[in-house]
Amino acid sequence: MAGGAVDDEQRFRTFVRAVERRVWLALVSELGPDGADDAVAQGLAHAWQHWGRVSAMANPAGYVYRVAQRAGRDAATRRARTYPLVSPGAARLPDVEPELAAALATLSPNQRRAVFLIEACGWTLADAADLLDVSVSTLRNHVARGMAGLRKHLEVELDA
Amino acid sequence: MPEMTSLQQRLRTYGAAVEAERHPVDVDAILFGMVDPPRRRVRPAHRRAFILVVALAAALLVSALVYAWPRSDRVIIVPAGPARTAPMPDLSSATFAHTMPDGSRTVAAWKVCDGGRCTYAVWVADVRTGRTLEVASAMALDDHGGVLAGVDPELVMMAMSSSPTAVRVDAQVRLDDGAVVTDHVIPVDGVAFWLSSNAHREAEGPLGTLVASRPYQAFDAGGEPVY
Repeated sequence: MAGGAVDDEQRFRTFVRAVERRVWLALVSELGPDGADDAVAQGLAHAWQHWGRVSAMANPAGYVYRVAQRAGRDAATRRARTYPLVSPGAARLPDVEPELAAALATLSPNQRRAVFLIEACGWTLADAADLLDVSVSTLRNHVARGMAGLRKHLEVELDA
Repeated sequence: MPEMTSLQQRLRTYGAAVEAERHPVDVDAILFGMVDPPRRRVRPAHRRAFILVVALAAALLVSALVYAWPRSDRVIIVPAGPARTAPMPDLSSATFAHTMPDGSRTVAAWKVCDGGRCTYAVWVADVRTGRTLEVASAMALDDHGGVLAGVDPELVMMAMSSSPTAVRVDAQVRLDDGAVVTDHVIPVDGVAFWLSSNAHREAEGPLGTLVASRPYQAFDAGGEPVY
């Protein structure tokens, strides 16, 4: 019995290592870094609470993402708070295009999330679609529209 | 690998800057119960889809039952079992309703007697919309076809005063499509009566004949509800 609990803990730690970064990145464009931190922790706490069921799911990472997203949105609503897309600390980095955060903020949440994951983080469409539980074609569409929106906002005509 | 555009390069830099803001999850805090899970439950995607499908199927089933059920059962507010065939001489007033066999409309009739004179009211509703249809004209007839009373134009629903000797009330109803049909109300002994109809469109011939109706509201002489 105790051995089973230890095994569960070990499997959960492995699971956390495998998914926490991905889930955080999928949430950060909507919740901001602080909100994503809290939401991921809550989503994983929920996963641990229901570990027997969650571990048997076909897409447990996608489930944790959904739980964390809901938790983050609830928290934002409760606190009447909007999360910054990127913290002032990161925005001050000299390499970061100052207008980029503002341009991303003009996109719809779906477009922003898709552009961030595919273009900013370098995920494949399949990986992102799997975690977000959407089709690849939907995601591709969001990326295309989002990039078009960014080019327009940043007045990028020859993007090479 | 295709070369990245300048915008993509800027986005990559931005992505790296954002990721630098991430704080790793404290797994031990989660394992020791120091992180509160969210209160709201989130169902996995396949279960959400399953629940949606079940809800949709239930809604379809209910709507199919509603539309497939005999229409007379749909419009009677309090179904009172088998159609009443025996006269109910002790009743002071009663309301009956039935839906026409072609499903086009519901005919309801009400009768109250006081001091040897009876008042009849007939009203007709479109089954699908619930809207009251226009009763173009109505008459209470004796057994020779003589007119005992006609429409009271002051009342929204057609009402007539008649002696208890009336054997039939004919109401001409104008349907939404402009056709005029005639519905008949046949009193039986006492206050109870049948709704019956040889309803017909004047141009198309008979639509069917009602053979029975059910009371959905009836009151005895003391005003107590019988049904």
